[in-house]
Amino acid sequence: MRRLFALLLCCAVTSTASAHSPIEGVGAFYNGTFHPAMVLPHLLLILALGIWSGCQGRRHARFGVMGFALGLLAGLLLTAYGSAPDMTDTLLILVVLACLGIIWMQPLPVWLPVGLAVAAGISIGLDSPAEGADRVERALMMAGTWLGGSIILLQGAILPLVLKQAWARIGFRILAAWGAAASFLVWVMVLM
Amino acid sequence: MRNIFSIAVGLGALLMATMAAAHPGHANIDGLGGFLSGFLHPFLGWDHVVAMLAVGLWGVFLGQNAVWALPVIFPLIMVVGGALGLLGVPVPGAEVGIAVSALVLGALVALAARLPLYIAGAIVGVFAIFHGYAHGTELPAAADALHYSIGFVLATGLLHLCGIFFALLSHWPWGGYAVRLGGGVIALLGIGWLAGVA
Repeated sequence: MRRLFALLLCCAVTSTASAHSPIEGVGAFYNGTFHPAMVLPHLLLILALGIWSGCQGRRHARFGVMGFALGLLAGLLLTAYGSAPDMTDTLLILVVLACLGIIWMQPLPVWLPVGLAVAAGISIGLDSPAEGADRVERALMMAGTWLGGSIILLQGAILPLVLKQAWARIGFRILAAWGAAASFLVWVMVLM
Repeated sequence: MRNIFSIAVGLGALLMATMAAAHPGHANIDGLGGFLSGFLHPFLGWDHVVAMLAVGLWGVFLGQNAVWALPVIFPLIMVVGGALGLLGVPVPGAEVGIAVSALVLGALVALAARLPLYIAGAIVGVFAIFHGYAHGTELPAAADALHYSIGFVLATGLLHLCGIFFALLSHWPWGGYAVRLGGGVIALLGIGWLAGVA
């Protein structure tokens, strides 16, 4: 009850969020930070991956976050050297795989979720070409995307580590099943 | 106190589900974004609503693994029907299948039928194909397919959870009768739809 009250109090005292930084030149960084949260396939994939890693345990979560961060960095850097391919169908399949991993919920070798995390990071990075007038702006946007994506994954991984109750595991499984179903249907549509 | 709060939240969510308009068929809502359209889609047909509730209800009756297994099996098999709808493969009698799902699932809850999990999963899976086909035929018309899909994902998951919360009442003697009565109502609705009355 105390935590709920504290949470409500925090919600009540927050001031209006500012979507754009007043500091000139930092806008690109913020744009990049919000980017993974604004693109639905990215957000789904990162959350599914985070929850899956967290369900597997602290070690898997730790390596999963590191693997994703490295993959994301690699993907973002690759976009600096060429045109970014359309990664929609790849992202959707990765969402399906991550969700199936959540449903399975059995202990898996660490290389499996970590491997998927690296692949997801690279795919999201390739699907997030930086836009900007000059190299500095593009670099700031890439840095923001890297930070934003990594933070979302970390939050997703922490969730099952905190919520260990049986009802939470049931909820993760049900949401993952529907996430896999929705993503697979859209993937079929993309292929058509 | 925690149980009362949980029940209150569950009943509140259940009331939210039952306030949906009894809209027949599966018409899209013009002018809404993809997400809202998808979120409202399961609520626009009572046949979808009661079937989702019945899956949650029956899962609680069957026991601990079924609580999550049935709501997981349903969408994973539903995808097959959805893909068929997307690809334009005809599934004859889909609407009848949806009505039969309400009848059968409602009757199983009313009778408190405790079948082996693999049989229950097979029954739920067969009906999921019909529901999926109905969703799949609607998907191409949606403005934004992924947002639409996520919308109806959240909505149907909420309906499953409503069914689960309602079924938790079965821990009390009177609650068990209430849940079985709910199953009976669902079965009657299924009969009504088959007869073309409801």
